[in-house]
Amino acid sequence: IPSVSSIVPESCLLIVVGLLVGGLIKGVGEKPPILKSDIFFLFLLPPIILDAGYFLPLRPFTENLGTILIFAVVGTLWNAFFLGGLMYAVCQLGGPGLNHIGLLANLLFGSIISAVDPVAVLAVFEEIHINELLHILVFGESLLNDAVTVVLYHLFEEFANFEQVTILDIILGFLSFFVVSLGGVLVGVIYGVIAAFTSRFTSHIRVIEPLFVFLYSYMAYLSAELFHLSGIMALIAAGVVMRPYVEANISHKSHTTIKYFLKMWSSVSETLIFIFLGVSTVAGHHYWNWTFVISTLFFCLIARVLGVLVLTWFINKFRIVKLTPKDQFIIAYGGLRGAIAFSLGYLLDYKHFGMRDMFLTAIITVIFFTVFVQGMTIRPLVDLLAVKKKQETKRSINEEIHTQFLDHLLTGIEDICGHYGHHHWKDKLNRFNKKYVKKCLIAGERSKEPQLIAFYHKMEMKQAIELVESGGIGKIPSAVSTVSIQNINPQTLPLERVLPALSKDKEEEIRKILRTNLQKTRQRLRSYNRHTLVADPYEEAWNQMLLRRQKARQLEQKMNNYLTVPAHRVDSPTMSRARIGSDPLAYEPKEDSENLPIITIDPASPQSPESVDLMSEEPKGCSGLPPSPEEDEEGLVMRVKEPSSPGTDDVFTPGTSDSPSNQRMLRCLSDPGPRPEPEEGEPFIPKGQ
Amino acid sequence: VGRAQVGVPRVPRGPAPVTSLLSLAVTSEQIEHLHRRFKQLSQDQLTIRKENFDSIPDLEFNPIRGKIVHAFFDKRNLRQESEGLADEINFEDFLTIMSYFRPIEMNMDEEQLDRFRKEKLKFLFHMYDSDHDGKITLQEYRNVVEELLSGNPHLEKESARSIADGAMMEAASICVGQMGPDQVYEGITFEDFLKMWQGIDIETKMHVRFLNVDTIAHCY
Repeated sequence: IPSVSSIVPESCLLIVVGLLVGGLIKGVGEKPPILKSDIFFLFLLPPIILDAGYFLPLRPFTENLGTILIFAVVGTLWNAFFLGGLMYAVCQLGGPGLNHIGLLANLLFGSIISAVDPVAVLAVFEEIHINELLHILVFGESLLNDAVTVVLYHLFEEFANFEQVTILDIILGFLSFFVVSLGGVLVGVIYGVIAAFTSRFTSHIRVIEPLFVFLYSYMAYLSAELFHLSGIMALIAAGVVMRPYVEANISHKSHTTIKYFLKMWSSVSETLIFIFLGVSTVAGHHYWNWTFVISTLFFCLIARVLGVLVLTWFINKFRIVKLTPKDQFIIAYGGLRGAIAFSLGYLLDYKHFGMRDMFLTAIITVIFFTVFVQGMTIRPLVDLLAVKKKQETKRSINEEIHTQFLDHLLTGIEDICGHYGHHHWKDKLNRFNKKYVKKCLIAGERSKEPQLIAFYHKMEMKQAIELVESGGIGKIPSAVSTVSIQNINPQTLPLERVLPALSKDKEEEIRKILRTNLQKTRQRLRSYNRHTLVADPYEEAWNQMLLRRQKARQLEQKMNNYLTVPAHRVDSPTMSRARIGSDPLAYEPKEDSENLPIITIDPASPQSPESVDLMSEEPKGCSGLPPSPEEDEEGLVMRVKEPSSPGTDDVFTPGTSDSPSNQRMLRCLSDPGPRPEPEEGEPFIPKGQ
Repeated sequence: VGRAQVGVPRVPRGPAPVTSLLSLAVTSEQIEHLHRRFKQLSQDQLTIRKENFDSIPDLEFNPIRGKIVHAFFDKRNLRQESEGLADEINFEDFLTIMSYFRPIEMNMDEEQLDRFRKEKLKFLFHMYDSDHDGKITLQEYRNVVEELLSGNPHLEKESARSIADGAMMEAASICVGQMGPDQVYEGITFEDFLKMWQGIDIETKMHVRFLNVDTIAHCY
């Protein structure tokens, strides 16, 4: 038995809940609250739009921008006028009840109801997982038609007050469309740039970074709405513009915060909107006129289908990837109406529009029809028509390389052809971006980081975090194979890496560190004796250390598969730790080196501490053997993998610097021991002691 | 192929592979436009050499410029059975290379589509595989990544190498799966290459529109 949620989309269920709640309230005798328009437009709508805009998949959006714009602008205009005109005809023929509704009122009604609603589209399309192209087409259209809706709505509302509408008014109205849409985008871009610029300076106050994102976006929306520009477009533009720069500047935690807050707010808003719709239906005054409502519904559907068909025929002449009839059907079927239409209708003034109640009833009927009938049936239809679904591919580094390669190749070919095409302009924009914009808006070194490297870093971080979270034991993610560097490049000699030369005082510093730590070791080692039954205070730490070593070995094997990109400067502790952990050469004894004694020690060996100086020396020369920090690269690794583990033995922590050169030196240096003057070649614990 | 134009050499019906792409309606306008461009590039000669490509100003910013120019002269792309590089190409060869970037047609069936896709991927493969041995080795892959990142002069070579190594390992794990410590992965063969590109819709992405006959960029 299929569960309810697989048949009925969430939006429908929420509306039903709203209906029940409304009915309950009415039954009790109270007056149920209605979805007031300013609450809707000021508080409920922006989070959803910001969420959509901030996480808008930019590539498919820009690739299909022409198509989306045509659907949004021409399609909505067509819908509005077709519907308005036909409804006027119906009203004229509809008898006494409808005769008084003028052409303008009908056109206004048409413009309200003709816009595809982003909230409804999001709610339904999220669940059916169709392929990216269709999703972005319908969704993009629902976002961009806001400008048209705003213009038409205000226009007709104004005109309804005029006695006469002149040609000049119409022309001005047409021009105002450009002002509204482009103005909205401009406002959004300005706020987006300001937000990006602000985020450049927040490296010391990471906590309020998410606040800037939300604040500036909301201000963009409010500013645009203030001037009757398109607030939705402003919000989208702000989110799109600020995102690449802000993400380069903010910390990982802030990014997570932004993501989860946006998702949370938009979920809450969406839920509230649908519930309120249900409640408002029960609460509102309705005026049901069969003719009006049924013909509205009918003509809405016809207008949508006709519009999509004609526009697609026109668009397909210019598209490389043509839209098949299946696609067209889904696009037409996905034209859902939602709460924006209701709120716009609610905003109508009783004085000028006495038939407001009838309009509202018709709007609600259309909304219910589209959300319930179309929303419920779209999923089985998608399965029936075998529409391509979204492919769950994870972006891999290979794909990224190939995509970039392909981009450059196509740009080059376009240049050779002499054709100023799509890729040419995109490449120019990228170069402009890299040269000027990124320097202003991204803090510090990140501004010069090419995209490939940034992508690689991000992936590494993700994998490292995944590994740590999975504990390193047990479940190996299936994507990880046992392919290691040896498999692809067997000639890689471990000796490739040249030890950097250290200055004298650095060496001295290192020796001092080792000395102080090793002294403690000696004491603790002496106290360890597995034959003593007295509970040893260090035993707990010791056991933990053993466990960690075991984990580390397994972790090491996994981490061997991941190479890290060495930065050209000291980078964040996480990165350097990951690098240490992944350095496959850290554990191999250098057989051929003469001057670099390798000391391995096994504190887990079941022997008395006196002979804990179990070591393998290189035959020649120096035989220093600091037991702990050097051999325990595992210890080093473990410490860094669990930076805040409770039982950290500070014996095994090397102390200050994390830089790779130091670590390597630690591995290979011999420590002469706890004596005042460092002397090469002296065993630390003399044998037989 | 459309009606012959004055000065445009007739594209002969060669062996089957040639016709598979070229016969797919390269319209006469497009041929004329490309011929005009060819004349511009070759300075009215009959053939183009590598040096002629230097006269295109926008190409200088392209990080993989070398590989692109090289691809034009690669005999494997010119469908000649031999290997190596040609010194100069004529208009017919120019058209052959351009035909790799045809957009897909609506009325193609599955088999044609598959062949179409393979042709394009083969072109890409030849660009990656510079020593013509049929495999993309680690060194060649590293070379590719280095070139891609060559626009950033301050970057260390280490970074490019690490990325290439990581990508290679991923490719090995996709193509071969689990490998023991002794097995060595020689390089990416064409079949593996096909596997790697499965996620990317090459038929729709790898195309250039040369419908616009009016805008021709100027050369030096």
